[in-house]
Amino acid sequence: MRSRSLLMILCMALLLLTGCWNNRELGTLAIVTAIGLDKGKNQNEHVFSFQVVNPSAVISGTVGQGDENMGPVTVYTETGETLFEAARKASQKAPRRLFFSHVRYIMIGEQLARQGINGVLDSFERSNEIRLTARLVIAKGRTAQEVLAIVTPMEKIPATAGVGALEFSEELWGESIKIEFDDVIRAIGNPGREPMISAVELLGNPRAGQRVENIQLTKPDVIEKIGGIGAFRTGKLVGWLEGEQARGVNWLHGSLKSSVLMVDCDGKKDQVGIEITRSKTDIQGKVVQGKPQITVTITEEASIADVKCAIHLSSPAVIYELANKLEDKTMLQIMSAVKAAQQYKTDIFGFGEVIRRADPKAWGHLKLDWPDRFSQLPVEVKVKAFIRQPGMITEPYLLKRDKKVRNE
Amino acid sequence: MEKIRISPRQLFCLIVLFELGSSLVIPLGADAGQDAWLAILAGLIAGLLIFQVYLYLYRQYPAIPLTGYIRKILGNVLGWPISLLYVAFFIYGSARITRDIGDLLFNSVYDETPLFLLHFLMLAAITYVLHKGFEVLARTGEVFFGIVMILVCVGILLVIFSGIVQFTLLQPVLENGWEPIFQAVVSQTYTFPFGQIICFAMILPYLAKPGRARRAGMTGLIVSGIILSLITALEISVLGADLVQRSTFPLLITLSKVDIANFLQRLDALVVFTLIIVNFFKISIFYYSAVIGAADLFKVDKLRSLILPIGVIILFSSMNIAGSHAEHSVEGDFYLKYTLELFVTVIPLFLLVGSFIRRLLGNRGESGFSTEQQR
Amino acid sequence: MKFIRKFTQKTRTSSNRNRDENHQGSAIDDGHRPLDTDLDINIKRFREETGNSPDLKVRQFELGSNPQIRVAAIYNEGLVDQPQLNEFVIQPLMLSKDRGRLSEASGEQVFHFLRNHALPVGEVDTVENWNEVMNTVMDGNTIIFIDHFPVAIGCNTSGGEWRGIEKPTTELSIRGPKDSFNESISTNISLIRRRIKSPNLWLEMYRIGEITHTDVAIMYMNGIVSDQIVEEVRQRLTGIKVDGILQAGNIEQLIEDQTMTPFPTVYNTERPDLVSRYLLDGRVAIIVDGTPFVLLVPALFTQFFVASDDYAQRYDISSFIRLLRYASFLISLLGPSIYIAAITFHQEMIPTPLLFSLAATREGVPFPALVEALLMELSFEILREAGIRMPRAVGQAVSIVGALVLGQAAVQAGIVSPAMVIVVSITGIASFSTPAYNLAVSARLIRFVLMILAATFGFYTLTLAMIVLVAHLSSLRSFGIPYLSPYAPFQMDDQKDALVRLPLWMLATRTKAINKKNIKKMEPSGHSMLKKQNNRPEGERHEE
Repeated sequence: MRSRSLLMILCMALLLLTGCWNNRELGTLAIVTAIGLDKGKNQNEHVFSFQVVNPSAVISGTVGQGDENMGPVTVYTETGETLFEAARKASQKAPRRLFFSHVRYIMIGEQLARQGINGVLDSFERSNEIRLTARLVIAKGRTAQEVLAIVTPMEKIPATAGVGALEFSEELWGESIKIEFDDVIRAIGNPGREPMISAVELLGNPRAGQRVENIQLTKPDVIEKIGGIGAFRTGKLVGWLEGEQARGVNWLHGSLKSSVLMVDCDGKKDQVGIEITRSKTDIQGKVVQGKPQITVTITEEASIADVKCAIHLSSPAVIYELANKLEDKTMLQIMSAVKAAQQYKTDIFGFGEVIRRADPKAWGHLKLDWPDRFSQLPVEVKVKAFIRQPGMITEPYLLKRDKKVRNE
Repeated sequence: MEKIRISPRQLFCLIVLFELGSSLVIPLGADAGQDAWLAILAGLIAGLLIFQVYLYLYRQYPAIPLTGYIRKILGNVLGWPISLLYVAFFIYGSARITRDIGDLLFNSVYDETPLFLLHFLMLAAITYVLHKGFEVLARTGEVFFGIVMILVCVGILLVIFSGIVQFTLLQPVLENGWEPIFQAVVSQTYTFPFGQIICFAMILPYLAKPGRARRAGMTGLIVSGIILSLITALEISVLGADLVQRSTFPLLITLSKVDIANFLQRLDALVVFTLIIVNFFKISIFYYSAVIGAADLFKVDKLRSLILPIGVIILFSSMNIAGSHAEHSVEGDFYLKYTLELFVTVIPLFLLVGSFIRRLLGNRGESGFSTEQQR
Repeated sequence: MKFIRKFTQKTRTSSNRNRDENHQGSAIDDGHRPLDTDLDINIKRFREETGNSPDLKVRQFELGSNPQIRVAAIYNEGLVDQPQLNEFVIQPLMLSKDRGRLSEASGEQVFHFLRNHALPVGEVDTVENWNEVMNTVMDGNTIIFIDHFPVAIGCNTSGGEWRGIEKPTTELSIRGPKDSFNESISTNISLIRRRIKSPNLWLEMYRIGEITHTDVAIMYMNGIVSDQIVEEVRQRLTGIKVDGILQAGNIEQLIEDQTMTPFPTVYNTERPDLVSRYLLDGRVAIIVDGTPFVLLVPALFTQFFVASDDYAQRYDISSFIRLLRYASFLISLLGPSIYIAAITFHQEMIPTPLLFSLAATREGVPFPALVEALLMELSFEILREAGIRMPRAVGQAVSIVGALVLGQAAVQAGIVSPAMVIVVSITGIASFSTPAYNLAVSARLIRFVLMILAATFGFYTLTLAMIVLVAHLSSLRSFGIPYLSPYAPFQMDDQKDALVRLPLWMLATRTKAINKKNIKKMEPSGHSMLKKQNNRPEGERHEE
């Protein structure tokens, strides 16, 4: 009995004496919310920027120390060949240990993106701190460090603001795509798909955005905006898909949640705004006599958002016609995305994968020169649109006036 | 043998926990690409077949463990060393899984903690529980079986509801035909985890109702096989076969991708918790099999006195079996292909043939010794 | 004193031989010396042996007329029921109409007269030796010595002051009965008897404590309870050799299976309705004189999560509340340690916005999380202890000062973080929602160990500790019954009243882990739900 209790005491003592190898008090951590990646001076060198949150400046209502004067984030910049080298180097500057588990996104400067990202991603993947849910974003026309240093209105942490903008833009407008880290890695390792990454651009003077005062203005000097989707080929950024093209990409990606399309009416352009409420994408591929073919079927549901011309919305025929127009418009947008991608010779839609699923044998030799085949791939788009809701009002007031005019 | 009785239900729970142990950690059947889940099911069928052999042998000798009937069938001269090899095999098995979980913890969270300490803590806990007796382990297994099942269900539901599952990643099914699947079965999924059920050949004599062994064992294997297959399919449909294959720890990455309403996220704790539990039981069962074997071979009456020494052996061998994770993995390939195959298939089949011959010669007990010698 | 010492020495050696004898000592020795025939010698001796204690009264009077026979009544002033003594013992003796018959009677005749005619009390004993004299007087009864006769009469006059039957103070309920046990063993027994009016409710009395002679009763339902368990209880009780049993807690600690555990393996309650419930479920109740708590064995882990209200409310509500209790037990066990593990090891597992909040509140806190938590937990424990020990009126003040002023000041001074205050408070409140106090205490104790483990290795050791804890629990037994049943070993039939409580009509069997015989406790036709099934047309019947 005594020996057993002695053993217990020894074990407890051991536990206490061992101290705490991995014990990291919260107060010793600098929580990184975003990482910026830019081209360095040398070929293999990169500039890493770490956006670190100052918690007490971000959380209001902290007892005693809600420090409004402190900037919500601090950006540390360091050059290095790999993430780890740079992170360790940055410890010379940061007063705390950089902690990467809460990285919301990784921002890549456009220059670096054009030069190629394949090499630099490995250390992100290998790290046990960075998560696959981190998003990838390109800083369009800028370096990443410039964009990361901007303070943003509404959301105190720029990373949260960035993610928010990406998310809502995807959800409501459909011109950006939620691309997480593993999506890119999967695409890089897959011959039947090329990566694509959404971009962020800056409106205004970036230097002005580094001051906290920027967010005190009612109309900030500088603001972030979502700007299109970058298409990659063999790890290099080759071109942008913007506006309608970006929405087409979203459609093909099956991730379009809702958006607004304008269709013509009475011969005038863009008179009726239709909100797409639900959309389903089905991509089928087949190989006919060695030639791959893709058929895209879109089924969408929509409701009418606004009407600028006098039409009878209560009449099924009118609705049917509007649906037809919507179908055409949708097809156009999708085709524009396909055309753009074919022009860049980069299969960001994963058509290659579709072919592989449909006909693994044929894929065996198709994949050898897939980029070229992709650029000539016949793509057929079928759209079925259903307009279910007329909105809160059935007949537009313009119509009433027309009727009155006619009656008089 | 001590007077220990476990119920068929407890046996079932232990088998499921045992099968899930450490096979949840690694990318199982990854050689088969996106068909890994099929490879697991195929491995399950193979495992069920070899389990019939163990069951047959158990029915011939319901009161003694594997090491006991090896000597009965092959005779003492040949049987004793083989039994000793089995004990070593069990010790190696538990050391290996200890190392697996140690490496995993080291790589994921505890990168500044000595590996030895991680192993020590695990084995100290196991030693404590085994010291309380195998019945206590069995009862604890019942409790944690429930907990693990809840965790698994919650985990699967979370992954599905977070909308990150793309079933297209599982296609094309059978891209390269059945061959890669057979290869994966032969090189991995049959022996590991299903063939490892050989451990239970040491434990079956404790079963209170020997008639129920088949049912408990088969359902245990099938349930765990289905869970493993399902989880692997989910991993692939979230991460893609390539990423699963390359990652050291696909399940953790899969769960870390879950994000429901920006709140239910970062659920890695679920996985780590599950893994520690199932590995705990797998190590315990290997460990206890070694203890039973050693007690049987060296004619030690009190099993309990062997628990601590064997624990120390496992602790040190878990540190010394490999210098690095890479070495550990290379060794693992050899272990999967040859060592396991030998202990799980080859020797038991020999025993099967041996016991047939014994039966043909008319069970003459010790007098059959000479015939075995000639063989 | 000398006498008692001698007596105790003797019984210590003799009682091993006669385990089943309730009253220790059967051998003739000093204590069993017969009484003298002379009254004066008897009184003198009594006086000597009790050290002339003034609360032991000797009332002498004379009976008959020619010659008068002297009689003495001896009683303990504080332990007798004074009105009863006066009315039914003293008065009849002194004023009896039949006194005339006693003229020229011998001592023996007086004895028989008194025993059979004169004393209108319920219980009269013949007392023949000093040992019995002492026991009788110490129990609050009255001894009547008769001159010239070596046998005395003992009359049951015990009474005296007891606390009345009050509302339960530790196990409150909303709808359940509101009575609770008090310190009197006979009251307690009657409370149970009143609920179970069955001749099969059997009672056995023991006297434990070589000096205190404490009355201990065991009660069980004959025909339901397993004989093995009763036998085990008997053996453990008679095996107790100690000079004093002052409360049920002493008995509990002397008969439990395993002492090296923080978990209680004997159940105690102050509610007669719970005791009756468990008696019907095949348990044995141990009632100790002087304690308002009754012990019940065997005790299972699940039992500590059951409150009397569970059976008063509807099943869905009580199931929910029971689940809540399990959850709060886990919180009170693991709360601070999970928090410590999460913020010192596993920051990656905390959702990002929450992490920022936590980090902000911890800015400037001078202590590591473990020290902060230990500090808070310890002060909370001190507060709690102070609240219990302080006089009631002051206790309130302590909790206000402690909880509000101290907590607020500590947070404002930046010594502890608000988050830690929240965690510690939730843990504290959660620990109050376990119905059984003794289980809540064990959770409090283990919590500190878990906190230290969490601070050294995070979730890894915490998980291992949980496994070890469950293993420890499943290694425990209470009077031979696995403590963790019906979870482990899993018992399907007992699940209906474990984690949840199913509708009463489904609880048709007693706890299988404990009961081997007479399992069924409800006739299938005894409930409207089942009747409805029985009344269905022939074709639709499902049963059989």
